[in-house]
Amino acid sequence: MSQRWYDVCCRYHGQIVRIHDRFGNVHIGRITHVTPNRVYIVPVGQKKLGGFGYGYIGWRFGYGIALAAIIGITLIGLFW
Amino acid sequence: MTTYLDVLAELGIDGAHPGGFLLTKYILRKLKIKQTTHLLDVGCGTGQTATYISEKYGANVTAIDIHPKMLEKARARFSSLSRPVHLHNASVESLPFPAEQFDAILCESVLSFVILPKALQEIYRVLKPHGKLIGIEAAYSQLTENEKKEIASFYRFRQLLTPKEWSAHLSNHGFHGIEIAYCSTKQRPVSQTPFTITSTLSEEMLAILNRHEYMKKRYGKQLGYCIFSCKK
Repeated sequence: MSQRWYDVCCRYHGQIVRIHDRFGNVHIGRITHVTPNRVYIVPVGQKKLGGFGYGYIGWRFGYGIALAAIIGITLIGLFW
Repeated sequence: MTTYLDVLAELGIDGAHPGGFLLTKYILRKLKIKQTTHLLDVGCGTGQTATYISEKYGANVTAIDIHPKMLEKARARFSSLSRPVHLHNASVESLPFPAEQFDAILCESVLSFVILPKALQEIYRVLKPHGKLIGIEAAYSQLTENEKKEIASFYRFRQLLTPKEWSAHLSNHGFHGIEIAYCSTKQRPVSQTPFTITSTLSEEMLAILNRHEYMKKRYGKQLGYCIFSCKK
């Protein structure tokens, strides 16, 4: 399942998404980085957190969500 | 074999047409719908537009679709409405209605997928005199024959037309007062439609969705859509 979410996150890299995880959390942000285990998003519509919070990789890419915890990703798109 | 339309049905995408629901609402405002208006929503999908018309304008709404999954979703949505929307499992190529029944007919990304002469003939038949046909349909500006074939074969378009060709078809089937506007998908702002990829979506459907993204990227500049309105 992680491979599926890895592929989906890579495909929609740079887009704003809503990620639903199996703990009931909903994360809204722009996909900035994807690793085989995690997707990193920068939250949108929120003020920047100063100084601490996201750790080294998160400093650039936002915060990470385990791909294994994802149950759904909402995107926007154009359809015919 | 799973098709692009099956994916739209499986994802339950509301407003699965270019411009999305925002464009639909804008068009409906221009239509001046009254409570006495009889409106047919062709290819109603999940029933979002028909529900909105019924609730917002209190009009008499009839909706048709042929996809079993879409019909199921539309039926569920209509069941909770205070004003009924009449849902039929029917194709626009053979409408199960007497002649001159509707004041307006709405086709949101439908006519590209059907046999156009049959559909336009049927729409003309069931429209009241001076009734209006409104359409939002795929259109292109510049594509080679091979590119057109590739796009049409993936989306299962029966025809992929330029705005001029759409206009000619409408005119040939007796419609007049044709107004048509072409929009490129690269133009901003293009309202987009939310959809959710779940863990249960099959690999085959995911592959179709990926192919759709690829087609949008590859042909985004040449492939757009047109909005038209015309009268019987």
